[in-house]
Parts: sequence; structure tokens; C-alpha cells
Amino acid sequence: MSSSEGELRTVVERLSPVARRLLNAMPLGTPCNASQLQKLLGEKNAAKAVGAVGWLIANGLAQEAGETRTSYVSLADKGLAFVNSGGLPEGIIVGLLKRGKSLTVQELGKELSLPKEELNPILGTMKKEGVIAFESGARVVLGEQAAVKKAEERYAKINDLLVLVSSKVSSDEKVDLQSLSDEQKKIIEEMSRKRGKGKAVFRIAIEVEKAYALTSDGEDARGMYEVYDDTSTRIIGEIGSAEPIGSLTPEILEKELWRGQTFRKYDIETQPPKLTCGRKHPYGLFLDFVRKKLIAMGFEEMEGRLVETEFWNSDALFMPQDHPAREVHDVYMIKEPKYSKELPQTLVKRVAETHRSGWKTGSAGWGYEFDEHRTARFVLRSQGTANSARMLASAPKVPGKYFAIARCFRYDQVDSTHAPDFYQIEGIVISPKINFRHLLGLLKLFAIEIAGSGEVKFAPSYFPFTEPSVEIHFKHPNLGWVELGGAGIFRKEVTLPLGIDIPVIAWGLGLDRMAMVALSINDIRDLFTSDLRKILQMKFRKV
Amino acid sequence: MPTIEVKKAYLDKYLKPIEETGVGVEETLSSVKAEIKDEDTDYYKIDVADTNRPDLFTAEGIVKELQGIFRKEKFDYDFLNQKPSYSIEVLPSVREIRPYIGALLVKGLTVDEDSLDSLIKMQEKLCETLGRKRSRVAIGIYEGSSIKFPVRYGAFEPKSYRFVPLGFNEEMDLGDILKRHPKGIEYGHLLKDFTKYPLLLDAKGEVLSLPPIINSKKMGEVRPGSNYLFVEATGLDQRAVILALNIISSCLSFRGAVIERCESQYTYSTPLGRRHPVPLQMNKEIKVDTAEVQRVLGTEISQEEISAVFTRLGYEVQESDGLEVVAPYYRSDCMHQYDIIEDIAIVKGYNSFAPLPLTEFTIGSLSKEQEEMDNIRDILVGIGFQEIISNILTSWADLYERMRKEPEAVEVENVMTESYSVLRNWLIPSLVKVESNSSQIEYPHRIFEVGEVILKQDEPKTEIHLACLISDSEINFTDVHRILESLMETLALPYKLHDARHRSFIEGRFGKVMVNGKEIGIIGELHPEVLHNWSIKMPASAFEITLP
Repeated sequence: MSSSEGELRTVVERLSPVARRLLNAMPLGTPCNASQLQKLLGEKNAAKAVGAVGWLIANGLAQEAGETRTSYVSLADKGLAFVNSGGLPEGIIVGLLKRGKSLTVQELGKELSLPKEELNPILGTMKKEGVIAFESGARVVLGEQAAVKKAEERYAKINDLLVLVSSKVSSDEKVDLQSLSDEQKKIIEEMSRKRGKGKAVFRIAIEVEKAYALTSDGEDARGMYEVYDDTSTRIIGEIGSAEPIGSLTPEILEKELWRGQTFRKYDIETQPPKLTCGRKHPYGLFLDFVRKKLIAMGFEEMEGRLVETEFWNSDALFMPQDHPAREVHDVYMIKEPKYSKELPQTLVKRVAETHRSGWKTGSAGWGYEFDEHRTARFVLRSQGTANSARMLASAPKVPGKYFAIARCFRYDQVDSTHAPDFYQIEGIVISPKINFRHLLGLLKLFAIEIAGSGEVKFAPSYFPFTEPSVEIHFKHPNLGWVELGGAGIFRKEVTLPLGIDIPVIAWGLGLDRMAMVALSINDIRDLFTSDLRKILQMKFRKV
Repeated sequence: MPTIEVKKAYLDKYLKPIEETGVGVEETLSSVKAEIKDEDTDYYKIDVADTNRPDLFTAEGIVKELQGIFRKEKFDYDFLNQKPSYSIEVLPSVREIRPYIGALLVKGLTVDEDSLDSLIKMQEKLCETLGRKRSRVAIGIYEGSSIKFPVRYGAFEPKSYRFVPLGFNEEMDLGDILKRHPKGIEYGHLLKDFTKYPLLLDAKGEVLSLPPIINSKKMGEVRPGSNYLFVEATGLDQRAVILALNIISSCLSFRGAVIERCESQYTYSTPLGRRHPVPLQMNKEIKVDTAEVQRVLGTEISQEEISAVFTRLGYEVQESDGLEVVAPYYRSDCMHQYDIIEDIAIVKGYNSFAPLPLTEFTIGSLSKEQEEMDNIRDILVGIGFQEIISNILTSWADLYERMRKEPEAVEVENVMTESYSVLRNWLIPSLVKVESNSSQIEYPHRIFEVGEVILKQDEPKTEIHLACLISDSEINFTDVHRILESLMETLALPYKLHDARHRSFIEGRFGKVMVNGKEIGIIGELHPEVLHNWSIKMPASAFEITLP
């Protein structure tokens, strides 16, 4: 499909100067390979020509057009040896004989450092051509003058050719057989074969290369801009403008060379090379989002410990020591050290008494003998509520609102829905004024702010440390009803021993499912994946 | 959270009338904190959340509670006031082994396939949960008509009695049963410390069972068609033993059976005295303060309304001077006035309460740890690093062996899988692991993690670390040093590097990061042996510092 003149003009304007020069230089109808293009451009480096033709191809001005087969000439080992030892041995022999009149075969071999088996065939050929003759005593003399003269001319041509090829090859230039005269071609063709028992002097290698030709658009675009050379600034073109500026350089700015010039237009749609940017972890972004929301709602963040005592993890939360959720099948125990020596003994006594008989809480208690040794046992924090218990015991603000995003551990078989460690988002609200309806109000606020859904329903729930307890479900546009979290009012058996005599709401959000939807993943283990590809593919979208 | 199996036909019969009033099955079950998790052709599998309500671990228990909440039906358990007509004599020999027992008789209910199935499920679930896998409570059920009372409960030498256990055809002595019977093998550990084993014998000396292991085949096999059952429970926790029988009696009574009480007669004293009947009401009166109920629920509610709710739920209610209630005898969860206030909210329906906003002003803030972490994350993302978040639980191989380090981290005692058996005490292995899994991603790699680690000390310490790793075909110490340099400059923390050795890094290309003369981290070029251990074919350098 051919383009209009206007379109072509735009395309040509955007070409780099090299590409434009190549466009004007490429012959009509004859495909050229890279080294031919290089020659057309007068460039030393073939890569620049390949780059320039690449641009022409990308803009539809040139195309690949089959292959070229080129015969390149180089020196074989023998030829190299001749060049290094001053030329063709035949020429050297004639020169020696001219100066010394006659020499023995032996003397010649010594002069030329040639072994007999190499020297003899050479002398044989020369004798046959009448260039030399033998006298008695194996002495070699020059032959007829006419024959000698003719041979000398030929030897000179071969020597010139040896020097030419040698010098081009040593400066990394290739010698195209077709670029030589017919006579030279003939010499090379003869001397690239073995000479009797002797070895080849030249070598011919055939290279197959890609060839390029202008497309019909390319032919039309040729000459739209005429170019003299790369460095001149004033150039005659059809629209009479100067060669536009490519890269703006400090020099151009310094010398104000840009004044009165135009700028080459770039193809702004060209795909740029990729850049890796630094990113926060998408799950980290999700947690940051939740954190921001909670802070906006007036919650203060708490930190805690990964290795907890049973005291803070369960006992202070009034979970009886034989509670099924406290068995080794649910909580990870620490191998070493096993017991803490830093428990607050006054609190331990109160909690122990509360478990036994209710202490001053008005509760009947669990009615069992509390094990004060076991309460010091180190476990991996299995619930974020441990942080809330510590906060209650450390003179919190009243009214006060606290939250923690806490890494917790459960003794579970790890699979697509169970991670060995995971984040729990939980917290407390301390205030003399709160009641059951505030519990509902708080959960509904979470649904609106964090889950983005005001459509909620509440259901009775159970947590060992709260009474009453409630859980909230919100309507998700795709998933239907989803549980968002739960809350309850801490039992007096929890708050009183820790020194708090007013209502405390304890709440927790189960956001892993929401996180997985927000990050478009199906396997909970991927939240902490060590596969960079998965992390880079994960994108955090609010849900 | 226990999961129980309930015959669909049985539950549906009761759910249907409730559904017709416009309350969906899900919502109905949620009022007993239960949820259908799965179903097959015959059964629902139901998760029950309230671990303090073993009375809801049975089909009958759930249905009974729902009838109270939704149908306002009240059930009487008159047998609680009747004199026991049967008895069990408890011999001193069981006192140190398995001291408590209770029993009851079930008449007037012809056991069919369905009710027998439900009874056995009930027995198994209560033994497993309330009974803590038979250690605290084990329950036995027998054909009642052939038992001669009084029954005796005592402990005997392993060779003194022989009987045919359920599931076998040969007579065995007690020791043999523990060694050879499948239940003996499963539960024998409960008796391993004793030289005598508990036995339940009838008045004629027939063996009923070897608690808590197995019944005798002759006396303890129940078949459909029976209309006379003997149910006993033994254990280490007297209240739990009685509670199990209370629950079973309430369920069978709900199915229409007549329950007759049996008296446990001890030769030693127990927390409940030397003799007590079973079933037995053990709950105490709880004073219900109407004002407190109103305050907790945040709603106006009259004493009459409260009283009506408790009656429906099977509480004994007295309204002489204020309100006093006693929780149903099959419940043990009411320790405090607040425990029963929730019942009022459930009967009223949680969704009938209007949510109230929290109105008191509080100021939100990040923890100072998180603030510091966020600051560091921002700096590193700005330098072009990708954040990583890894598991804190890891393996010896990853944390030490592959890193050529000596172990020094906190280990888990009850290991579930080797891959998650140690707590990380440094972060670089997590980043190296990412490298070993990500060779197909275009280089350079620049990754970091900020997160918690645990140091093994007398009181294991949680610290926050930062680790950075860079990897590319031409990466060396200088490249990673540059990152540390610009980070420390941004943090305005002047630091020095001290020459040191570390087996994870190349000698002479490793240093300790010192701030004010204190070591806060390490930096170096990862040793080729480490890279080899992780099958990494690309050079990498890293540093790790402790955040203040």
C-alpha cells in the first residue's frame, strides 16, 4: 500500500540523518547487502548501515530483498608467507640471478630459505617457461631476455595483488572479487588452487548476506530531502529547509546553534526500552490502605512480640488452660528457651484467681487449678488479641482506640487457604459509654470504610474472651455475602484483672480473602511468595 | 471448632416451619452460631462455633435451641425433680484412676436406625470434645433390660476378669484388650500408669465395660428396636461427666424418651458430696439486673420481656425480688450475668438493633516502628528497589545450611513441616531465596524487605530489620555499598564499616556496619558457595541492618 506524499514527507522528516542519507544513496532496483550499504554511506562501521536500513524498514521505505552471494578474497598461509619474505620466490630468483649471473641450486635454496621439495617445482616451471636455464655443475642462469621480461611483469602484478589483499585484510576490510580487474581475477582464481605439489596462495570465500532494496514508498521518498553530507548544516531540500537538529546538546545550547533551525520530529509511538521501577509489595500496599483507614477513624497503632507467653496469648484472655484451641495441635511451642522469667506476678496471681473462681469479677470462673508454671511457657503468638491484652495492662488512654496488624502463627497444614504465618488485624475501643449497639456501629463503619459496602448483616458469634460477640457480613458485588470480621465486649474476667473497669470492645478483621481479591490471587501462600514474577504481576486494586 | 453431622431429614423437619416465617436457613442456624459447611445425600456437616456450648454439638441440641428462639416452645425436664430409682456403687479402688461416674436410664423410646445413628454420633462427638478424646470423659451406652442393679464401678487386676469385647468373638483379659483390641491400642495410654483397670459390673457380676476403652459384647451392644438403654459416663472431671449425661438426657428427652435418674454412690468424698443423682442441675442462680441489661444492649427492654426470653430458652426464672434465673441444666457456659445478656440479643435478633456510631474523639497514629519502616520503604522504592514480604517461619536449610552459617535461631518444638520450623533471625536468606526463584526475571534485581525477626535470648526479642540485595552480571561490593551509603545519608546516620568475616560472604568483601561504635548490621558480596547452594548463577551483594 503506498502512502500519500504528505505522509511520506512526515516519515522522511522523522528519519535520522544517516537513514535519510542512505535512502538517497540506495540504488533503484538493485538489492544491496550490509557492506555495500556501508560503502554507499561511506561509513567505517557496518553496524551503522544496518541500523540505518533498519529504520528505513521500520518506516516502510525499505524491505529485505533476498540474499547476495559475495566472493571475498584473502591470503592463504602460503600467500602470507610470501608477503612476509619479500614477494613471490620466482621474482626474487630473477632478481638474484640478475645481480649474480649464476648460482647453484643449493645456493638458491639457502638464499630463499626454501627446502628442496619446494624449490625444485618452482625452478622446473621457470625452466619450462624459458625464464631460467641450467648449466653444468647445477648452476642456474637467466634464460632468453624476452621471456624474462614477460615473466617479470607478471611477477610484479602478483606481488602488487599480494600487497593489496594483505593490506586490506589487515585493516579489516573485505576484498570483493568482483571489484578486481579481469586480469587480477584470473590470477587469483589460478593461484587459489594448489600449484602442483605447492599450496594455494589466495583463498576465496563465498558469503551469503541479507540484501535490502527500497520499497515503492522508498523510491517515491528518495530525493524529498537532498543531502550533501553529515556535517554540513545547510542542505538543499525540496521544501528548502535546513537539516533539522537531532539530539539537543550542551554545545548547541551554549553556542545557540539552534537559532533559526528546526528540530527533527521523532516517532513518539516507538516502544521505548523497559525500565524496572521500585515498588512497594502489593500486599504491603493493601495493608497500608487498611492502616490509613484505621488511623483516619482515630485508631492508634500498637506493636507486639512474635514470641509470646501463654499468659498474654491466652490466659489473660480468660481462655481456660485446657481449651481445645490451646493444644499443641493449634499453637506452636518454642523449643528453647521454654519459659519466661519476666511475667508481671501481680497480674498472674489475679488471672490465676479469675480462672479458678472468678476473683472480683462476679464470675464463677472456670473452677480448675490454674497452672502458674505453664502460663510462662513461650509460644508463637497465635492471635493479635495478645497485643490488646498487653495494651490494657499498660495504662491505655480513656477513651482510647487501638489497632495492630500483627503477624500470627497457627499450627495448620499449609495449603492454598492456610499460611504458616499471616497478618491479623485487630484492636480495641476503651470507653465508659459503649454498648452492644456501638459494637454493631463500629463493625458497620469498617464495612463502609474498608470493604466499601454499606449493605451488612450481623450474626451471633463466639470468641472465648468476649460476651456478647457478633460477626459482620457485607455484600460484595461479585462474591456475595462475605464475612468481614467480628467483635465483642471483653469479658470482665479479661478486663478487671488487667486493671480496666470500663467496657472494652475487642474487634478483629479477617481481611485475607479481601486481600486475595484485591490482588487477584487464589492461593494464600502467594501473599508471601518468593517468586519475583508473581510479585511483579500482582497489582493492588481497591475492592 | 467442632463439625457435626446431622441427618438432613431430621433438621429440615424443624427448619421448614421457621423458613415459612421468612427466616432463611443460614440466618436461623447463625442464631446458634452454626453454619452448614457441606452436605451429602443424607447429612449436613455443620460447624458449631461456640466451643463452650457442647449441648449444641448434637442434632437434637441445635433443634431444641432453635425451637426456643423461633417457636417460643418451652420444654420441661421434670425428671430433674424425681428421686433416683437406680444406683451405682463406686469402690475406693477407682479413686486414683478414674474417680467419677454418672449414669441414667432411657425408657419409652424405641430406638430406630436414625435415632441410634444420632445417639452414637452424639456419644462420639461429646467424648472427643467435652471429653478431650475420652481422657476427661468417656461415655458408654448399653441395652438396659439385662442389667441388674445396683451396678458397681471399681478397679481390678488385669487378669482378674475376662470378657468378650465389642467387635470380637473371643474372651480376653483386661491386659489383652489393651494390647490387642483396636480401641485398646487407641486409648490404652489413658491407663498406662496404672496396675489396675476400671471395670463396670452389674449386680450379678457381669462385666458391662472396661472404661474408657470398650464395652462387653454381651451387655453393651445396642440394636435398633431396643426401648430401654443404660447410659454411663466416667472421667477425671466430675462436672464434665455429669454435663455429658445432662446433654444426652436433654436430647433423648427431646426425642420423647422418659429419663430415669441413677444415683452415684461414692465410698469417698467428691466436690459434689458422697452421693448425687444424674442428670443433675449444677447451675447457680444468676441475678439479672434489668438496668444493666439495658445498659449493655443499649436499648429499652422490660423485665417481663427479659423473663419471657429466658423462659423460652429453658432457663428457670424467678421474679420475686428482681429477676433471678438459672441456666438450663445442659449448659455450662453461664458464668456471669453478661453470658446470658447475649441470649436476650440473640432472641431479639441482632439485626433488630440499630447500630450506633462511636462518638468520642480520639487521635489516630502510626506506631513509631511502622513510621520508621514506612520511611525506609519510601527511600528504597525511590532508589528503585522492589519490596518483598516473606514468611517469618522458615527452615534450617534456608536460614543456615545454604547460608553456611551456624544455627542460632528460635526453633518450634511441635514441628508441622520442616519448611516452617524455625523463626528467621535475619532477612538476607529470604531475599536470597527470592533470587533463587527468580532467575528468569530480567536483571538487574534490586530487592528489599523490612520486617520482624526473632533473636534467641532468655526472653526472645522481636526486632525490625532491613535487608537489601542487588544482583546482576556485574555487581560487586561497591554497588551495594553505594546503596547503604545513600540510605544512611538520607537517614542522617553517620556509619563506618569494620573488616570482619562471615561465612555467607567473600572474605575481604564483607564488613560490619557500625554506628556510634555499635554494630547495627552487615554488608558484603555473597559467597559463590552460598549462591551455588541456592542454584543462583548471578553475582549478588547484600546488606542488613537493625532499625533503631
